[in-house]
Amino acid sequence: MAERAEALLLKFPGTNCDEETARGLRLAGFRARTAPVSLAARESFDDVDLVVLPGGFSYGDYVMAGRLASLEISLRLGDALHRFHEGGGHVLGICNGFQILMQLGLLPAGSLVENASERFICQWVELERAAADSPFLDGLPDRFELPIAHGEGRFITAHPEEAEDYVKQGLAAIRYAADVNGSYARIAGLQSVSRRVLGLMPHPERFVFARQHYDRDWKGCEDRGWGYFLFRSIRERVTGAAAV
Amino acid sequence: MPKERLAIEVSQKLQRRRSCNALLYVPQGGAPNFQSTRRYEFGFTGSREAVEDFARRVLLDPVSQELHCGGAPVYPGYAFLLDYGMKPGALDLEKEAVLQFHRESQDGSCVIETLHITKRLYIFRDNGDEPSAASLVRDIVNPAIHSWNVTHADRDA
Amino acid sequence: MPIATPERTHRSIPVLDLDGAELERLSARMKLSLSRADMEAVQAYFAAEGREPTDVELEVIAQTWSEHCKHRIFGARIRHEHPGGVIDIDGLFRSCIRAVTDRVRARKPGFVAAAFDDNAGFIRLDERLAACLKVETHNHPSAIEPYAGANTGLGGVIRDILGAGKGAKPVASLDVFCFGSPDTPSDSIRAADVIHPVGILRGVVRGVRDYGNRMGIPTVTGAVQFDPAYIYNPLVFCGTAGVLPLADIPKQVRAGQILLAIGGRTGRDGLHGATFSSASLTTDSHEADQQAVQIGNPIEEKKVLDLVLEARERGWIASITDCGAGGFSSAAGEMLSETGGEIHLERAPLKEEGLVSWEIFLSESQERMVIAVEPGRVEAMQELAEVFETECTVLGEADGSGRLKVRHHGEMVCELDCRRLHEAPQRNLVSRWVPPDWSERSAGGEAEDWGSVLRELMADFAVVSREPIIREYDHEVQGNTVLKPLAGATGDAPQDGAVLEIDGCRRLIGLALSLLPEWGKTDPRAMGRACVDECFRQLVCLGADPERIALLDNFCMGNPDDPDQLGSLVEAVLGICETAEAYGAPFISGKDSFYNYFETEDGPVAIPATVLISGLGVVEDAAHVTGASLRPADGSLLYLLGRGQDRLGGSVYARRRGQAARWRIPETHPEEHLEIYRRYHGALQKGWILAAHDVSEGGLATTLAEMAFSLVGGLDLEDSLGRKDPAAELFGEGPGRIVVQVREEHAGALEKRFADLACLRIGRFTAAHRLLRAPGAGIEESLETLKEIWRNGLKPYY
Repeated sequence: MAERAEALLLKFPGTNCDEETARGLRLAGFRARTAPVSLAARESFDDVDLVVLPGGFSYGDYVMAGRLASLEISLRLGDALHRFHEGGGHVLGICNGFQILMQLGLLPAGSLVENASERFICQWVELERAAADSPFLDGLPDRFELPIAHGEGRFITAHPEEAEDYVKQGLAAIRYAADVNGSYARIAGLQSVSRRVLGLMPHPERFVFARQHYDRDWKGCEDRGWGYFLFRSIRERVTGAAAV
Repeated sequence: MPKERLAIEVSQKLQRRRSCNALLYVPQGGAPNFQSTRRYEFGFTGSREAVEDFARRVLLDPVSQELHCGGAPVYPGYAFLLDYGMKPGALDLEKEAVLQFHRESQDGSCVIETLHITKRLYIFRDNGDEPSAASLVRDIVNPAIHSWNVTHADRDA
Repeated sequence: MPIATPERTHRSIPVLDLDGAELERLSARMKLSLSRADMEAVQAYFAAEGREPTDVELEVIAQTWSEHCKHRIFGARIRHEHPGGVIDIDGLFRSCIRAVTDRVRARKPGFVAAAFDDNAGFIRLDERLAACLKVETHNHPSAIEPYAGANTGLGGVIRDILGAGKGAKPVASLDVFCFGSPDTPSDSIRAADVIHPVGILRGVVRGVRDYGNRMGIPTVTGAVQFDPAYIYNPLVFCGTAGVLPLADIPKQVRAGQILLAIGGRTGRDGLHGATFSSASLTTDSHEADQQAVQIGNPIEEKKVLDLVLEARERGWIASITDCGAGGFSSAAGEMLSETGGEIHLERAPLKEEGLVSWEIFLSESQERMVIAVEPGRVEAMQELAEVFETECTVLGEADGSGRLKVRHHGEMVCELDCRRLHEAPQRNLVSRWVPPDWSERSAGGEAEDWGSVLRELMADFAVVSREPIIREYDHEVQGNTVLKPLAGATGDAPQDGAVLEIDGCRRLIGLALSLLPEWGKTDPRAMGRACVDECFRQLVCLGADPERIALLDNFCMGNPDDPDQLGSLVEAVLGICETAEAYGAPFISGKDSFYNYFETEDGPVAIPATVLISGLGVVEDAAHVTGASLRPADGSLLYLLGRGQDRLGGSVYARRRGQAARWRIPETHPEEHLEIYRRYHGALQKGWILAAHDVSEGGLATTLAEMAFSLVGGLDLEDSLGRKDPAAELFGEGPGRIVVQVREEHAGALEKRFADLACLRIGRFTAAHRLLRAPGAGIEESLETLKEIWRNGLKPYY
């Protein structure tokens, strides 16, 4: 495995969380670079350990969140992302990135639709680590907090039982501790059967430092926030360092 | 080649009938209920099947939505329909995004020349009184950006 | 694909032989909004040139001399009559506002990096970086179409920041609205074509949401004022803060450089004169009616942002400005104002066919900017634009001629002397302010059940939580919002503003704002003074160094030709200047909006002169950011810094008793307040302060309740509090006051530090209960209950 973990962030017109996501990844030991999708040729994924689809509003999220970006990926990159994954690569989608991964079919079937409240919701939420085997979540406790900021984050499946099955199968990697947006089975993050793809609505990049917490008296792990540990977990996994 | 038209209507599986008060600035007692869909009207040349395929691929989320062709009302039993969308001079961002993607991904089987997107509200007679279109129109549309249409159901149908 | 233009793209308009009345008629016919004196100046200019003007030239001059661009009211000579006598003001901006800034800059060299000469003013953050802030209004468009008006308003001010210096990076936005009350009965609105306040509120909030969230700029602070005075004339202020290396502040266009247009295309959508009627609202609309108000395209602007920031970092930008009012004419006019140069209109990418010269040059289509680069950079800039999937077109070049030359298909359609273009004649105005018939309120007032008064005030629209609105805005994108608009242990308690970390800088910036229109209705000067105090004080509470605070002034008023309305504005300007100068807080930018009045069935309704003061403060260390929510330090003490007053005028308490305009407005004592803020900041640096909150709308009692809304404990207030004059002590809104929470071990030191100033121990924090207890006034209220009242107030409407 590589000495230095390489992360590639894909940026679409409308992607807007790339800078702080790159910052979080670097803090956790990644070498992170951002590629505008217009420059992301198929070979861009060579020598990359982790492909990240950051948050934002790709192509405005018109029609539905992530739809046009996923179509553009297929149009411009073909199945390069699928092949990267099949070749052992890791993929992380945050918020809009999660929405794009759902559309691309890199995660178990379902959809992220408008929040039950029909509102955009920007607030911190309590989360449960619901899968023991996610390489992204090794370093996180059973319960942790992250902020969410989305209008279309309600996870649904064609039948509600499928979402329950995802929980049983360990595919529902992260769940909201309480219902915030009407998601089936309170699912906040999904992982692939391979465990190498994670999509989540909450924003780990917004909580890499303790001071980013809303409560001045938050007692976390020294000066780091929970998002940092998510990035560090996957960095340790791809470099083969400890924490398994 | 003559331009052909194709209209599709997309409904939300999870949507339920609810009170129009959600759409009004000042709630009214006994406000009627409504449901909504989105309508996409394509003007195109070439293969109709290709346009329909494009619509399914680009506009539809099969998990949460249903696509309806043919023009029969998605929610029968309504009192009237309110269709509204961006008027010709107003920027419709969704339309621009869809057409932009169509231009990029064209394979020659069809050329979509125009697209008109509207929201369709089905207004029901659920709460007794005959619902008034005027008060709804006043709060929902704005002549500064919208064009709209009210279609009353044929009472005998 | 080039779009064809009609053959005749411009025409000559004879003016040389017209008399004054004919000139006036011409101005009206062409909708130039130029006065007879202005038209005579235009005539004289072209007489000297020895030719007739073109329509393009008249449109350019009308735009350049418009109130929006030239601020002619703030530049006018005003004879102002007030109780102290008559004063002559040679330009409110020059002799009042900028004069304060000039004197403060002399006192504090190096703090202000730029003021009033660019899109936004800058203050120095450290050796390398500067921060800027700009606030604009978008009132009339928001009244016609709230969603589109607000989103283009925010889009416009973001471009102001992108066009500040060589392209500042937008880091946060703020939004301030003045609307009619959400519970306004529909039948009390005395005009057709007026959108109900709830419709304005929903549309505007969603407009800000959909633009700001897509841009990835956190909307971190704001305010909503509900007042019947704004039913017909809602006010929408949009502000954006930015960060830029100090070295990139100066910009200059040199002869030989190329002007590039980037971003969106030019169309008829951005032309003035659009009017809409809802007379036929009950029937179907006419498909033929194509004219629409502009709707912003945030993704287009995001691509422009990505391009500008990347090009600036690569050092490619010589100068940049946004296309705001006046479109290319003002952007190019500004960039070529020193060197002169040539613009070629046929090169501008268009949205539609058939635009004539003046339409292309004046169109205000959104999401466009103009950049000047060295000729050798053009190709690289165009390649970079392709990377970000936006357009970049050569529009013209700077040539050193000192003349603004515009060609269309080779034909000269406009040729004006750049310097003389900006020489609009000065206006002369008169204003007057007569104090109203104030009545003194008897101290002690009427006895009331003060606990129920507190509940009543917590439910008032002036006080209730803005949470339903705040949650719609992404206030954490960019990951730098250290103090969020809602925080505290439960993440939903109110704060005094927001604090942002700055990438690559140890220091932080605080953002805060104040407006007190209710005060201005009776005493605009007191409003001006108190607004500066409140904004400054909030920044101090956020942790800003009181020596490093800069302010912005935004004014809105009705008809400036009405001496009484203008008199209120003049008084407000005098008020803000007095306090700002005393505080050593320079104004670095400002904007004004006039003619906010509306013809109703019952006659014209104008807004009260309204001032918004917003501010930017440097926070030295993240440890100085305490927030306004009580901390779980059992036995800690609460102090009130600053003197209370028995004046209740303008307060929420007085409003609810119909006395807001009759009782006297509280006074501002800048020297005394500033001394308190300085010593407060010293105590903060020593680490004594656990939490601090400014006393504002609702008074001390609501301040305390708000501090306790993180629900980590309760408050036992001193027996003496609210015993003598409960209304004034608990619900008075006098300026200059901060409530602080300190540990018992620091109490002695704090008291000593404030020994010669007003510093009153008002109570103790306890972990033992969740009550607000003020035995002196008979108050014992459950904090949970108060919080529920406060949190739910706006929910039925938004």
